[in-house]
Amino acid sequence: MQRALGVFETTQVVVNAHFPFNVAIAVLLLGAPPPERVSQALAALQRRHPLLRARVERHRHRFYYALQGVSEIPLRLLPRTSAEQWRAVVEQALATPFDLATGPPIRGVYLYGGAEAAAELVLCLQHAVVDAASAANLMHELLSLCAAADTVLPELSLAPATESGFPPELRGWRGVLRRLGFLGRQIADEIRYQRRARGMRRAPIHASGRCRVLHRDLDREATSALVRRCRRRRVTLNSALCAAMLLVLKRELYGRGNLPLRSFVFASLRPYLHPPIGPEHLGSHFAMMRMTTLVREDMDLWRLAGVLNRQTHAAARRGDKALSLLLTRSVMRMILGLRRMRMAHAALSYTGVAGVAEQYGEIRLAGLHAWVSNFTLGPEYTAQARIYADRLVWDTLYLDSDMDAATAARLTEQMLDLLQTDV
Amino acid sequence: MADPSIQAAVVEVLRNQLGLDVVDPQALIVEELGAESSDIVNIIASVEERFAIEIAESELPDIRNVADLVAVVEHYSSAA
Repeated sequence: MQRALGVFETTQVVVNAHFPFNVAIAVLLLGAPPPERVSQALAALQRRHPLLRARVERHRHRFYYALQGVSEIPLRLLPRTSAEQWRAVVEQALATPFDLATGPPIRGVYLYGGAEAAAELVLCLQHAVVDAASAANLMHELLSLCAAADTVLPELSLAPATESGFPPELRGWRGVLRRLGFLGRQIADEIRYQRRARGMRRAPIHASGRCRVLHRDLDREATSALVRRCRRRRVTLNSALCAAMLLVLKRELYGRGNLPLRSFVFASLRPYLHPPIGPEHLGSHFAMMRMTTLVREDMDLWRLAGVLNRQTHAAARRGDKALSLLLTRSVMRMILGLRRMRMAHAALSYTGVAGVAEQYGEIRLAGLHAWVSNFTLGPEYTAQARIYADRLVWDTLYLDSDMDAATAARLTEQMLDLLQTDV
Repeated sequence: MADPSIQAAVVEVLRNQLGLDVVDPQALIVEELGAESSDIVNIIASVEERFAIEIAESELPDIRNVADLVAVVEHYSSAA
C-alpha cells in the first residue's frame, strides 16, 4: 500500500461504484504516429506516473492506492472508418466504468488509418487520478514522447492527497468551526432555494441515461473579442460562459420570471496547496463549488456575469473551495442514497488556455477535446471549455434521457451566439 | 533588467488589487500573493489600461510571478 486516498479521491471511488466517473480526452491528429509508437509512449508514461499503475484496495473503511500487480495501459487499435467515428468512441469511454480494484485507471483507443491519414487518439481516465491541469500535461507528455522516442521523462513520486496541503486554519478546532460555518451557509442556501423554486420546473430523474457529446468552437476573432469584452467588464471568462449557459437554460428549459438556478463552478486547488502541486503530478486536485444564482428576467449576459463573478470571488475568499472539498464525500453519499434530487441545473468547467501545443515534431493537432461523465443525478447540461489554438472550444455533454441531440445542439448554439452578440 | 517605472506601476496595480502593503517582484502571483481568477482579470485589465496595451490570453499561463508580468508589459509596450 502506498497511501490512503484523500476525501475527494474517495468520493470519486464511491461514485464509481454507482456510475462511471471518467475523463475522456480526444486529440485529432494529422501526421499520426504509428500505433507501436503510441504504445511505447504510454508505457513510458506508466513508468513515470505512479497513478497510472495504481489500483485501489479497501481496508476496513478506508481506500488505499496500491502500486503493484497492475497491467500495462490497454490501447485498443481500431481502423478509422470516418471523421466522426471518434465521438462514439468517446461516448463509449465515458459510459464504461473502470475496475479500480485491478487498475490501471487509464485506457486508450487509437483510430488509425495509416501514416498519411488523419487519426484520433482517445484517452480515458478515472476522474480520481486526473484533473484538467494534469490531463492536459499528460497529453502534452504523450505527444512529446510520440514525436521523439528518445525523450526521457523522469519517474515521479506519488503526490499527497489534496487536503494534506490545506492551510492550518482548516485543521483542528478552527477547521471544525469553518466547516460548521460552511454547512450553515449551505443549509441557508437550500432553504432560500426551496422557497424561490416553488412551482419551477424540476429536471426529471431518469433510471438511466447515456452520455452524448457535442463540440463547437469560436473562431480566433470571436474568441479574442470575447476576451476583450470580459476584461472591459472586469469579469472572468468563466463567469461570462456560465452566464450565457444559465440565461439560455432558463429561457429554453425553465421558463420566465426570476428563477434560482444552480451551477457548478470548478476551481483548481493546485496553486493554493502548501506546497503547490504542479501539473506534472497526476491527481484530482480541484474543488466543485455549487452556486445558487437568482437569474432575473431582466438580466443580460454581462449583468449576470457580474453577479456570478462576485459570488465566485466571495466564495473563494471565504475558503469555500477547500471547505466544499472536505464535505464532498458526505454530500455525495446523501445524494446517491436519496436519489431524489439532481445536483445542479448546469455545470461548466472552464480550464483556461490548454497546455497542449499545436505541433509535436511531425504530429499536428487538428483538435483537442475533453469531457467528464455525467449521470442521472447530475446537472441537466454540462460543458467543458478551454482556449486551444486561440479558439474557445466548447465541449457539451448531455444525457440522452434528458434531451435529444438537436436540443443539445440548439442550446449550445444559442449560448455561443449570446457570447458573440451581447456587447 | 526590468524598467523601474513599469515595475513600480505593476507592483502598484497588484498592491491595490490584492490589498497588500508590500509586493516582492519575485513573488508568485497566485501561489504566494493569493490572487484568485477574478483578481487576475482585474490585474490584467488594469495594466492594459495603464499602458494602453492588449495582452493575449495565450500569454496568461506564462505569467507566474510579478517579474513575468513586468516582462510581458515591457514586451507589449515596446511593440506598441
